[in-house]
Amino acid sequence: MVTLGSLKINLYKDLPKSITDPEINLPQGLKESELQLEIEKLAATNCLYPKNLSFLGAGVYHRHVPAIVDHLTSRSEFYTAYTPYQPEISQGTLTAIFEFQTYMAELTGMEISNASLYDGATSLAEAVQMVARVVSKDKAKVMVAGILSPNYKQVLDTYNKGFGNDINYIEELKGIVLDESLDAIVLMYPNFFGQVVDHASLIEDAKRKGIAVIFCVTNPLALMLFKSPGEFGADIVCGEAASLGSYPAYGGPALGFLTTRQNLVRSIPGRIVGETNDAQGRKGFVLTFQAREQHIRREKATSNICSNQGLMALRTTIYMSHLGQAGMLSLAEDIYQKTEYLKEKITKLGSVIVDKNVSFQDTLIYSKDVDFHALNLFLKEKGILGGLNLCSLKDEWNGCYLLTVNDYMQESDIDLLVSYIEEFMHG
Amino acid sequence: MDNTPIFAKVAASNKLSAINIVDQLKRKKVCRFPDLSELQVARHYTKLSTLNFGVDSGMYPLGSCTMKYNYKILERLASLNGFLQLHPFQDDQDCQGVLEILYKMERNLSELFGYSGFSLQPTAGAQGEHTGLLIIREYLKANNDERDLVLIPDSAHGTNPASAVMAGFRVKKVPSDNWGNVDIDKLKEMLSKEKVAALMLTNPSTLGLFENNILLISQMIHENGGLLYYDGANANALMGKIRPGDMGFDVCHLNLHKTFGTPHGGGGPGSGPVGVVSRLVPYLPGPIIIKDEEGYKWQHQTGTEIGRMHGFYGNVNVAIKAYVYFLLHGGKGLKEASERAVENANYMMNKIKEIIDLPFDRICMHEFVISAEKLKKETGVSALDIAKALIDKGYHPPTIYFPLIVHECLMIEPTETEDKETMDRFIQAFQEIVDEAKTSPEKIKSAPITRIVGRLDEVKAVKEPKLTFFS
Repeated sequence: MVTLGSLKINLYKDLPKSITDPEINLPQGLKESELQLEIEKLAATNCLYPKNLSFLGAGVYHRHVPAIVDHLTSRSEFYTAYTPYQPEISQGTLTAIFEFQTYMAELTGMEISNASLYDGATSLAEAVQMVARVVSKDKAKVMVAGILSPNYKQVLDTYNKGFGNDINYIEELKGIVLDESLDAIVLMYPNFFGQVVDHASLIEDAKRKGIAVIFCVTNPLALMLFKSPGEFGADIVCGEAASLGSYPAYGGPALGFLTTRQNLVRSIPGRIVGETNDAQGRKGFVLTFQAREQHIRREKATSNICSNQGLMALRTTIYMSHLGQAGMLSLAEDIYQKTEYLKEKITKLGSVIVDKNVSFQDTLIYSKDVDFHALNLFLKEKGILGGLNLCSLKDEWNGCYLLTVNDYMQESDIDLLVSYIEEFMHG
Repeated sequence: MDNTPIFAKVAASNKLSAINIVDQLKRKKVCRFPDLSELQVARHYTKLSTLNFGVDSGMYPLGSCTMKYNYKILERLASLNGFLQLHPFQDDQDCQGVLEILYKMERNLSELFGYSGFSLQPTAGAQGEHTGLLIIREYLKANNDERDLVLIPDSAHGTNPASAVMAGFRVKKVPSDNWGNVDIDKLKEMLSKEKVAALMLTNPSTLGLFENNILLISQMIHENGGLLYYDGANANALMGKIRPGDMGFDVCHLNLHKTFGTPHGGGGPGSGPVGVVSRLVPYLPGPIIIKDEEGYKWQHQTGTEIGRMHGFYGNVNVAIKAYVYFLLHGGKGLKEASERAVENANYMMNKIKEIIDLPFDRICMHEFVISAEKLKKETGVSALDIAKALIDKGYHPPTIYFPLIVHECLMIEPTETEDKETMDRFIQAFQEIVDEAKTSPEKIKSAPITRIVGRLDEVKAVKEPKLTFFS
């Protein structure tokens, strides 16, 4: 009952009485000081390892986040704002997204970018569905070729329950024959095993047969060194960019992205920011090509996406601005050299097989004799977070182990890991 | 000018890596990134932030978006290292703290909204809808039921039909009646013709009105053999007052970034958990958290779950913030928050209807919709013009031109965190704008004049697209 003017009104009189004000069993509210203790206790229950001794990666990377990224994204003008539907009052967000689009287009070697998607896995599902739109088919025929994260595959399959595209997965790239009836081929670069594979001849074949080429990139830092998807001739690039300026954060929030060619702009899922001007000729930024989106097109929209990962895109933008071209390049070189160093050291160990492909950050190791689960437990006792025991994700990957370096590590940290692996294997 | 992109600041360096990589894998095209000092970067983004407007900047009565205050303790606690540095491939034993939070959050949401289980995997409201509809799809499929039609009211959020199509359904529109409710006769007629998979409904509706006939609608849908879906975008009116589960909604999504006070981030990250009644629990996206004698762990419901909707576990850090919000309020505090949100909306509605037309003059829930149709006929000043004039008065505009069924509409949602003085000042500003529309409409039509740019040419943005700095 509230008083409005002289009237006393039951504001909930429209609710069915029989189910209004149910008895609900929930805890009492806490004071901020009590909350602080409670949540700190829970946070402390999670087990962390020194970042320079964390060898777990596989698409999510421990990578230094400069203080300025946290500091600037904590400005409430950014983080307490809504999606920038009112451009005059949102030029901060809009300019930053425009910068994000520029960064992602440059890095992937493509012409345009959207404003973000939920994560790498959903960006892959959206990219595949984008192909169906581009070729104007109800169901697209798509081949996913190479080593893909099993989690990504699960997301793609789940989304596809509604889409009904014809999707085939092939892990082994050698000897692939591209059927002319294919609409698109998806290539991982680097792939889930950290391998940077030369896709040139496969792409040449796809181009000849009019098959669209999608690149899925889960460690975009690699593109500072390696031939970009654009240089390969990709049509769409999707992937995960949380490793550029954000934390592992137990996998989320992450940052999906999608870049492509200008002529496909009307098929893109998600928000896009463009430059324009006001009546006085002053430059400004707006959400554009909104006729693709759910709030206008409803059931005919290119995607249902509304809230995306705006603040994560801002983090990546500030991160790349802070590092600059020189910083991004030297970071990529540093990671590549450490990857090489790890491979060299493990190779010297003997008794395990080290991947002969070019690797970036993640390195595949194989042995049918080593119990990698037990190795990880052994390393844990030494205060080291071991790599990913790949058979935990997929039975066929039995004997495969993925070790990941990061920018916190020194050669001595890698030496320490290798010495413990040696101790574990040889006692 | 201050909204100049950072790429204009300095010429990009022109350096490629000298590192030893086989030539066919070498990048040849330089990334045109500027190289700047930390101070230059700090100033650039600090300036950009001043061109923005957040909840902390001023009142943000954006209907359907629930722009409530974001308590700072949420940010502090969710940013603890124990959460941010945790790797999603770490063993469950390493992650007991975060798993406990997610588990308890799922239980709390189930209790508050009347469900048997929740999944925190969906990352936003739209993805929650997509997930919920896939659950319905797989449930029907498992029961050899081939119905594929989803009914959606004409007042619904645009995400509803878009999500339904993504989940493989056809959609049809259900009209609203003169009171803003679902047109029962029309619904009856539609149900008599065809079996429906689901009706998607947000209650309160996007008009901010509680659907009086909800129990009847629920009965009608269920007798038809369909399921009832709750679009929880408007749940802020209902916490502790009434539960979607009790109203007969089989599936429900919530927007933690609305109802549970986590920040919108300028367009995400959000979180759109999905709750279901017991018969649908096996279809929740996997993995789900279970608790046994060893502690909390992830487990797949093999054979029934719809699959994964996220590469890992969703926007976990947002869920942690929502958990903090939950504990900060407690059950009683959440109910009070909803009651206050409804009080505030009714207070504003009763004042503003003296100034401008209120098409549905009845008690509202957390928001209400007004129309500038008459004002536009009289003065030429539209809902858009009013919105822009509010910017010059120091407010973020309400939602405009939504829902689609009210012409020249503005949708106002004050939320529970606004105080009376702020609402009074907003109402005063609104009065001044409407007064001025009658005396000098051209002034209103040229608003805003206080921001870095005036109204931008959106047609040009499409006709001459410039989507990156270098294009």
